[in-house]
Amino acid sequence: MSGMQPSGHIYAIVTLKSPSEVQGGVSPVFYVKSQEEQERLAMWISRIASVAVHDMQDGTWLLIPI
Amino acid sequence: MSSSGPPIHWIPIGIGILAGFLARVLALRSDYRHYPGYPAGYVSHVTLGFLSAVIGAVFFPALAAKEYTAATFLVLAATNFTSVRKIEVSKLEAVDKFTLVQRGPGYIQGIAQTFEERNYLAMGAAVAASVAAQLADMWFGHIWAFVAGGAAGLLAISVALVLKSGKNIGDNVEVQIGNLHFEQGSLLYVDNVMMMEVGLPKARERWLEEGVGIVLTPTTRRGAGALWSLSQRQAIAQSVAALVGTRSDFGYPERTPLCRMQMPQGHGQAGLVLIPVAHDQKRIVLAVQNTPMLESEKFAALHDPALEQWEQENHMEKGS
Repeated sequence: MSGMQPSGHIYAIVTLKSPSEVQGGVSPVFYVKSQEEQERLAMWISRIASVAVHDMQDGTWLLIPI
Repeated sequence: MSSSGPPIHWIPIGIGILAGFLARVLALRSDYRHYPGYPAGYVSHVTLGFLSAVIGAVFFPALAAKEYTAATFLVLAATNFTSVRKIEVSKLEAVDKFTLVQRGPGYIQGIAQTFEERNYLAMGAAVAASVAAQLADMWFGHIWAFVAGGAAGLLAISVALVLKSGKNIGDNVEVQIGNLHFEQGSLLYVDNVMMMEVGLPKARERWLEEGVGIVLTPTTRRGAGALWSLSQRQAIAQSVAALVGTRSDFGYPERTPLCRMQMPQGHGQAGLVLIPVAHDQKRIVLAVQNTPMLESEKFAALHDPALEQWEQENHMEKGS
């Protein structure tokens, strides 16, 4: 049951913040300039890799496999 | 028949086989659970049912004929049925790995155990019918063997049919359509149960347009305990998805049907969300209600706030 256990890692980060504020440790970071670009990119990655998009409500979205 | 011992009576054996076989066939139904599948599942289960009926029917006549070795075959049968359950488990587990909404280990164990149990019930019906027929045959004659065997067989079959079906969620939990909405922008709620965080704005729109939320309130202590079980909630989600469908696929993880407890207070209510293919609220509620209670899940005699509140409200309604 993949959804019942901690997923282990963050697949990707899509953020409106600057590289000085958000840096990737083990996962890639996509820096975007607008909300539209953020939505488009996050949705594409989500559909391609089957990862769920989670809004951290501070301009950073985490893409996490479930 | 043979010179080595007393003759074997074929009437009780025949009646026993018939009763046992009927008990198994009548209990074999493929319903919304889509299991057993047609026709391979039927063939194997009907065959196994027949074998268990034969073993059960032969047991007492063999004892009466002083064929003690034959009676020990009963032990062999028990081992065989246990291995049948193991085969069922491994088969269902293998299938479960590649499905959108999984049954979960608890539900799989329950299904496999049920198949094993029904073979025992068939064997028991066969034993009961053949014992009655054999005794009547020895004391009153052939015709009474048919009467007694038939009566005992019918009784055993009806007992088996009563035993075969367990309780459903609907017996222990109140199922109601809830109000699906978002709080703090992206947290999906059904009434006051938080389900998940949906990050994509388009996915949130989809949920509000097509999603259905359900609130589960325990009405008995058993229901209260069952809702806390992860396996039970997965079984509920799977049943609903199997019955009304789920508009979800690989690449759309945020559409996976979910059944979760009300947290962080944990007052005992659960929520269920899905985007159904068939938008029939009545059917969705029925699907939840018809989910079997899992016996593999132990339950404590819980008395949680949601149950207490339900009892209070219900009591007040009765009083007024």
